[in-house]
Amino acid sequence: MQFLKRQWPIIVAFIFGIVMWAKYYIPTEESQTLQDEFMRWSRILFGFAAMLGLLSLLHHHWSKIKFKRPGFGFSVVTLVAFVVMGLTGLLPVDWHFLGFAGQYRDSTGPHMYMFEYMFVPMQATMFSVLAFFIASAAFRAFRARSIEATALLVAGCVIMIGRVPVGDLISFDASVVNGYSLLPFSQLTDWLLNIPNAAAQRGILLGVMLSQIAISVRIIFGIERTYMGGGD
Amino acid sequence: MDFVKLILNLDRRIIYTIVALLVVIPLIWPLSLPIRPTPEVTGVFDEIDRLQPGDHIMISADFDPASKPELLPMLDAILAHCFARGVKPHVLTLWPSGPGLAQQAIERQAKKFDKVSGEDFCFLGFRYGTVAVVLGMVSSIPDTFTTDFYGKATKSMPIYQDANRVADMSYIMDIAAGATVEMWVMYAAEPQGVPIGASCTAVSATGYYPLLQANQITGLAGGMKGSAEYETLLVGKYGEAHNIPPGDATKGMDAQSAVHIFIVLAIIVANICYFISLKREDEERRKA
Repeated sequence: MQFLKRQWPIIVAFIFGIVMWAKYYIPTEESQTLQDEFMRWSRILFGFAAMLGLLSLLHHHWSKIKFKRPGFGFSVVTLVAFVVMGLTGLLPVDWHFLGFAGQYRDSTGPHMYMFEYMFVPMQATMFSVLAFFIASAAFRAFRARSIEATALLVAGCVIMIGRVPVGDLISFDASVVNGYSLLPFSQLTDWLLNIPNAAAQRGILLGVMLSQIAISVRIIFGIERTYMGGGD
Repeated sequence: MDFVKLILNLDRRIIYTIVALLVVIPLIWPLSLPIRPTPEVTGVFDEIDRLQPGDHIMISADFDPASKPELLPMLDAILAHCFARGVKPHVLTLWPSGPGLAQQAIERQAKKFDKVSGEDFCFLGFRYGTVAVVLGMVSSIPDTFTTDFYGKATKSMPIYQDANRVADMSYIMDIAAGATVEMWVMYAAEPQGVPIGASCTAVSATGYYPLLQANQITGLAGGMKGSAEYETLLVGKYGEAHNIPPGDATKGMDAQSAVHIFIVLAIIVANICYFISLKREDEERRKA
């Protein structure tokens, strides 16, 4: 049992890691077929992972309801939504008897009706609320307390104006004297995005990629074992 | 209470009310501010515009309802552009909550341009597995998506008789709310030599400038502004011929302009008041 829990995953990770890495250096039809086969397995594994996620979600909320933990009412809503959306999306039933015009996959069916008129507005609302919080937080906390904070504040304000049509209007029409823009928000925005931003992002991107390579090598050689759970 | 104290202790509900009004009023009474397409967005538009009738394009709609106002107009505009040009789009999503929105856009545009599923376009829907799905499509799209979103077998579809893998596509477009653009570049576009463009949310646009400068993506449409610029280009070139009106992103730009200006002004006023209050505190300390 210990072998299956500790050694076996490391062996599997090592073999598949080495094979998939070596595949890139062997451009033959056989190697491509092997990759296709592995990708097929991978998609099946992803399916099982999704199933595990669903079971975990159900278990978590069912336990909350069973033991009447604080906020268990939300779990009831989650489970009801899960069952109703699942049934209407999976069952190949003609839903005309409930007054819907379409079947389970149609845009006029009950599943898509709930998606369009319940899920979309709720998720969009959650995200939209951010605009109010950001406006309030910027007003309260965005202070030029140091040189760094001032640089961030100025850059933020320039980009906020330069990335909307009113910024173009100011930069290219309203503030132009003798062919020169006195308030070149759009031009400054382009410069900020293309020079300092791109330089910093490139550094971050290279750092992330190098870290990914390092982590992959550590996983392949069994040094990094946290993915198996329970710590190192 | 004096003005400085009033500003520094302003009730947040007042800010919320102003923001709400600045969003709603321009939507009801539009200002129709002119939209200037940037080179980043033109880079996407021109690439799709140079495609010939009958060419294939892969569109990955990797977003969910949270990003609907920013990215759904872009999907609508690109589909309208493809159908106006006679280009055949293969639409898929790698996000579980993406198919519903993509379905709306594709059915809307297909109906408008009188296009037939399986012949002029294919809506593949969603498959679990992200990288595995992309790598699968590099080898074979019908093997990876054995059926389309509506449950019809893809292998026998006319659209897959002359194009059935990523390399057969003339362009790839990733409309992404997350980090799928890098994945499309790394596993599909670069190895197969297919040009790729990206559309993303405004907050993630800054992260794609290194890819843009390295020509790993031909163009970038960031946020609602990017979608509005694409709509402007589309309406400018095909609006009259194909009866394409300005889309939702264009309508939203006035509201976004108003709120951005308000936030910038609020930050400036709050900072002035902050420094005045600091000065006052300093003077009071000296007097004491």
